[in-house]
Amino acid sequence: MTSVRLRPIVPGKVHGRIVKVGSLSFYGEVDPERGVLIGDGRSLSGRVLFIGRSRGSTVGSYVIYALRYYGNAPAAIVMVESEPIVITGAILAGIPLFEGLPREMFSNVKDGDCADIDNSGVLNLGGDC
Amino acid sequence: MSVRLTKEEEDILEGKRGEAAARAMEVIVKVAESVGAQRLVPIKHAHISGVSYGTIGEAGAAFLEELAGLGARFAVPATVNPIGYDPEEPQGAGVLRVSREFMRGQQRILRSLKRMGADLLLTCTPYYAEEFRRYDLSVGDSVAWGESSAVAYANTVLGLKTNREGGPLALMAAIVGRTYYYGLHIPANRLPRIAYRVQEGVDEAVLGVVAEYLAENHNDDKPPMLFLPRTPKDYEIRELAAALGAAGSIAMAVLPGITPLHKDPIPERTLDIPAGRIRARLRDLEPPDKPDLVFIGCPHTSFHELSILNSLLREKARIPVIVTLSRSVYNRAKSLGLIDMLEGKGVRFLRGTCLIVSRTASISVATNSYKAYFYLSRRLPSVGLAPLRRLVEIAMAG
Repeated sequence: MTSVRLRPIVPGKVHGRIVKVGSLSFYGEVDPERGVLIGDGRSLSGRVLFIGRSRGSTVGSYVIYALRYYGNAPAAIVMVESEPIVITGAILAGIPLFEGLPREMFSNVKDGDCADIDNSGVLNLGGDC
Repeated sequence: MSVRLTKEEEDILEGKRGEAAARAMEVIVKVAESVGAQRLVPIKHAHISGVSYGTIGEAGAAFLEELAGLGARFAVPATVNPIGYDPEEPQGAGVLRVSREFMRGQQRILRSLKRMGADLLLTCTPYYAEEFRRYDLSVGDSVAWGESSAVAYANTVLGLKTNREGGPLALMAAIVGRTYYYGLHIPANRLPRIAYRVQEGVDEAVLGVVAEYLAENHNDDKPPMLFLPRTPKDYEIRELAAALGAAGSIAMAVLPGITPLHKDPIPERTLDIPAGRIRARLRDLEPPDKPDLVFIGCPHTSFHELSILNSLLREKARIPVIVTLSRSVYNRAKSLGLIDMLEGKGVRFLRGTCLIVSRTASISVATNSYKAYFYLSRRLPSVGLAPLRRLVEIAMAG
């Protein structure tokens, strides 16, 4: 088990499988109505979304809100470094958001791994889902 | 970690200006807390992105209706981005797909924004509109702008201070007349530490690819400074700004002689952007010889760019040329005869909308906008990038 303390921005207790994306623009690269990544069709619904770097349009906040509206919200968003566009979307949608994931940890984590985050923001990897 | 609020700000948070303002203040304070801002800053203007039914859909329309219904009203002047069609000619130019349902959704969004007090300029380049002058903004003013291309232009060219605000955050900031004091609102954060030298001859396509390079390689939180072989034209800088916002999250660049700063920038080091890499990337992005259409005006074009287009386009275009622009710039160009001249050469205009925020048929496109390439290439079969001069050759050759 690997463990690290993240900084909770929108706090929450989270348990779920990881979807890992190197860099992401929510607008243009996420389909909120279907709850999937447009590029490869991976589902975000109920998953713990690990993002290496976010980019792109300021409409991104609405896309995050729309994921909740259509019932496709991820269980949480975990970032190396957050930014206001994602923060605003996560607050409006009530999606737990954490930042401060070490970059090497992001590199090592695999799609489909299990993530567990407690109320204080401690992330444990490698458990069972 | 706590944000110091003034008495007035606390009153808003406690609901003394109504539920909508309290909710807006709550979001701004939470963002302030999470980025570590110590206070808020008054703003003089807001520009709101995310107003097309094509981008925010049903969820966004419902969100705005709820807010307007709660009594939300803007405390400062607020302009808004392009919508999903040309309001004066919804099926304009035959390239947009606009269903009844789409128009109904769009109307709901516009009604809610109007109720809150928005100026419906419907453009991503509000700074080109005649109406913009009445907001009386000057260098050093703090504003809250969504629309990443306008944010980068505001900081880089106009000397207005804004971070990249999410669409709804710019809206919340307009309601309370404040945003969090952070990032580019703080003068010291506007001074570059790293400069980049571009040796290639520049045009807007080169600058788009340069922006893509910076998005991937500039890891400093201060803006990059750019040394270019010549002073870029205004529309070239606009394309650079748009590409910075699309390919990454850089909200400002420093261009010597153009960017207003409170003191002279002294970068700690200067790096070369490898010319070979820029050339190779431009070759990758070359448009097909016969695209279905040529697209100019992402972000919305200026009067100046229209006159350059008019002088380059010596004969009638054989491939449709679509230009998107604000109603304000359109009306000015129309009154001076420029629109008629260009229409005579086969150019079609779409006002208050653009191809990115609307729905189009599956077509191949050549554009001089890296931003348009970035978003359109995700849903259209073929999108290429080339400067205005080359686009005009493609259009005339047919």
